[in-house]
Amino acid sequence: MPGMTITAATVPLASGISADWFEQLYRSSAADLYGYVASLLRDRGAAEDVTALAFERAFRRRRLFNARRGSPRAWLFGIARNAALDELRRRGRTCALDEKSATRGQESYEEQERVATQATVRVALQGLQTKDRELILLKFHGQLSNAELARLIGTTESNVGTKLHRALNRLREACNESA
Amino acid sequence: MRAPDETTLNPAQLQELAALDQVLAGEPVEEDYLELQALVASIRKDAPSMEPTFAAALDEKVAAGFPRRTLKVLKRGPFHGTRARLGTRSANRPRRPSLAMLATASSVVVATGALVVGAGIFRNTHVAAGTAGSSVASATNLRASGRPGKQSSSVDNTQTPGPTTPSQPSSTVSGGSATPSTVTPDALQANGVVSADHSSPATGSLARQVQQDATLTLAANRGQVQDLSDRVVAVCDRFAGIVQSSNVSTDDQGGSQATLSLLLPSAQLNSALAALSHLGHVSARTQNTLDITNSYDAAGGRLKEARAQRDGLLRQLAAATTPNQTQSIHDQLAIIAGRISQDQRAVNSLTQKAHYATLSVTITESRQGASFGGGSSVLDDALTSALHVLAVALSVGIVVLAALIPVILVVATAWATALTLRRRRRQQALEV
Repeated sequence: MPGMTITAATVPLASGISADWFEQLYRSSAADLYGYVASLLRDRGAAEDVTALAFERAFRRRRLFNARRGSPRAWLFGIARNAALDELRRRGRTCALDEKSATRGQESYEEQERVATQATVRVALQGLQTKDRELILLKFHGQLSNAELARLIGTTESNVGTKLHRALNRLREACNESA
Repeated sequence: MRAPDETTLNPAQLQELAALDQVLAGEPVEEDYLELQALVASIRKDAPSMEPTFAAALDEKVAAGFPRRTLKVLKRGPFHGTRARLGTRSANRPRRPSLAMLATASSVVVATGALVVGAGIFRNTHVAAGTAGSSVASATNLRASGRPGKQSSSVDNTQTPGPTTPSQPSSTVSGGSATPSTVTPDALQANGVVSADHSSPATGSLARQVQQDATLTLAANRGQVQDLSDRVVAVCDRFAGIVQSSNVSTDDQGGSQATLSLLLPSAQLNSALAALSHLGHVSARTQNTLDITNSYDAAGGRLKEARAQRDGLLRQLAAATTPNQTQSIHDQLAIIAGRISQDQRAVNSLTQKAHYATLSVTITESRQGASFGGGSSVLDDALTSALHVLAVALSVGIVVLAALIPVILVVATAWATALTLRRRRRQQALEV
């Protein structure tokens, strides 16, 4: 059921996720999770591996989920983040993302402008420090609250707010420079 | 305490963060944040989407509940992962033994070693507890057999090899594995361990001659000393022992004490001690052994020599032709006869010492009024045993804890270190 957001409140058990609920979680978050991982790793193959691994780990550990420590989505993104960072660390470098090919000519002016803006944002995002980029991706794709982000990163909520705000400002600056 | 990057956000910034949450939730935002909305939309739209083949395969795996062979399928399957293409280490490959695992393994080894050493310490500790002051040692394994009238006693030579030293006191022995029923004097004799001619031990006896003695102090309830003495005598009879002396005294305060001196077949000493220990509360117990092989051999040698001299004199007597010669030989024979008699007594005495153990039993009245022995002895024994079991369990628990606490600390430290290292490495991955 795409689009449905599974929160801690909607999971019937205080701890543990049933296979059915896991499948719902998968349906609602797979695309965002892949988007986050792929944007972070900038490698589709690695992103596929990490995404599959994250879901498998989450499935195997679903009984360990504790609703009091956050939503299932935040829990899932935490697993994916760890797997992605492990992958980044193993590789020691990032590969260039096989970019979406630039639009080729036939679109309307609005579409071309949208594509250009998107390219600007992409370049700006890629130009950010990995820390900032990861935080923005986690926030945007994971749609996590600052409290959930803080728990995931291991810091305070206000610290996350500060970091996030700074990262957004840097992204804006980078966009302006790219434009 | 604030985190390094933590600063207080102003209201506008907080409002922007709140607007961001609204955007992400799909809620409408004020005009000021439309740019933010566009930024979010742009990044989300620009995110790579799953390839249909990958999405289908993942759907399948989720529906199937990630069967265990998933890992292999993922490697070869539709996911064209980095590892497959770049030949780098797979995310799904089993991890190398982590620091925590290595620490755990080493800790288990250390704990096992500690337990083994601890057990060894316990085994070799000289226990002199007040409740049962028995001495424990496994250095000597006595196998003294005894049968009244037979002059044989031996110690298993395989257990006590080495040259003979005169009157060599051996370690105190208690609860040894005496096996009188299987090692009889006849059997030893048949095996050549003990000389058949007990009256003439000859030179260099093959078997060790060991003298044993023990003391046992039992505590009795008030007024139960005589009763307990009778039971001690009964036990002595049961083990074919002899009561050498028995004395029960009462002081002016009404307290009684009994002293019994028992002679028990050496082979039965341990069994008799065990039986006596069950009669009442053992407040003290000692057991000693003394190697008298040299004395025994020396006395036997002298006896043999005297007999040989007597035989020679008898031959001379038969060949004597004059009364003077005959008288002289008779005189010498008288002297020799006296020496033979003396040596024979010495041999007999030593044989008896080796054959019979001396046990001195002292029975005292318990001043605490505790109930030992007597009518409620079964209950008391049960309570004593239960307390003993509890004490042993507690001791074992303490030893285990002593071994486990360092292990737990090491494992916990290793675990925390591993987690911290992993977290730092992940953070380092973001420093690129």
